[in-house]
Amino acid sequence: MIYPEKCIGCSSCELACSFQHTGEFRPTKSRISAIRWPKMGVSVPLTCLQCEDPSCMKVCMVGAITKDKETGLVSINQEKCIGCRLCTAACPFGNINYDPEEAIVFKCDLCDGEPQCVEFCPNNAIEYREATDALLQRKKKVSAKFAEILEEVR
Amino acid sequence: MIKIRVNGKPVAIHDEDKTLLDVIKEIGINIPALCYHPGLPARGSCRLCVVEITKPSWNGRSKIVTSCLYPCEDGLEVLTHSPKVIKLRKVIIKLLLARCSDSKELQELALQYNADVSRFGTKENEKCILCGLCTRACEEMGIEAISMVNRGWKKEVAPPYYEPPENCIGCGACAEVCPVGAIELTETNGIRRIWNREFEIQKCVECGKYFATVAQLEHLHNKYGIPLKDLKTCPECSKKRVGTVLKKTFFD
Repeated sequence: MIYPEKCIGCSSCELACSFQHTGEFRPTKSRISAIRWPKMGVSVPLTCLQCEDPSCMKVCMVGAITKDKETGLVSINQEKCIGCRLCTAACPFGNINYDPEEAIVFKCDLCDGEPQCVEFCPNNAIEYREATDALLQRKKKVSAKFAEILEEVR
Repeated sequence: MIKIRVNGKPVAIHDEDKTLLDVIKEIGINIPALCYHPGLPARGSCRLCVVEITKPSWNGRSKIVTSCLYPCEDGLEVLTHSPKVIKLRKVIIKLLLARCSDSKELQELALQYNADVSRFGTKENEKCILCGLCTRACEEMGIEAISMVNRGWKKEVAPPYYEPPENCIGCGACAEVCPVGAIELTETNGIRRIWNREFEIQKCVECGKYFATVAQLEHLHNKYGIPLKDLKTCPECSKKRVGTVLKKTFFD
């Protein structure tokens, strides 16, 4: 769950994420990004939504991307990946990227259940916890408004 | 459950679909397998993953099989580095190296297996070991732009009639899976060149970054019905677009 109103655009999530996955503090290799509007003092943290019906998974012809039935996690099996990169173009949210240095595609893997972005966010703008009724209510409300605005923008 | 022994060590296998090579890799034994890719069907073409197998009921006889294709059978005893296997693997490395003498991957293997090339004449300027990973990758992608052509010493990987392949989408998966780096893919000024064909790379309509070939995006559009206009932004800008909508959702 994200709370953009709490995000201060500090990059802590990006740094924690890239360090966790690559051992380097490099936001370009982060699986999460904060989109910023500095003049307005607004920023929004964004990462993989672990879609119900993931586009990245649908276009992967070798079954390298799978969704765990129990946890809902959408993960990449790097060994199986043949590097066609269709998934990076297919994700409508831009949450799966290609790393030319390592020649791999990468996305959020929820750090095996302990997301470092959540751990290091100083303002609790990102949360990772069991869905409660109240949380689901909020999610539905936000999604409805999101869909409405998206229609307008397109 | 299937029980086998690998180099004397007992191994229990729960997934009956696994091949010997899967098991050998899983328990941490390293054997060369250039034509093997976990995401693609095995074909046993490089022959490097050969192992010696036997069963107590075979009266001391053993046979040599390619482990990437051989299923796990109950009671199998597998030797991954027996003298017979090493000898055979060495010959295979020598033959491959004679064909592709410049390949770093093969040179490393030769060093590891102490295989010199003196017995066979070498071929000039050959990089491909004919393992077929590229053609399998292209097949799995559902594109089939390249295949093996000709037979015997004339055998090679090529697009139909050696012409720039019409149905290729320039995704580069063939080059990515090639174990010896034999497939050339270059990118300059928004043009990707592979298999003698030039592919225009899409410029992100927002930031101008080149990110995927136009043919790849058309393929996504034709096969999955994703609107083309939604495919013309790079991942970063797609993310920004979502961010913008979220910003409006929360702050306007």
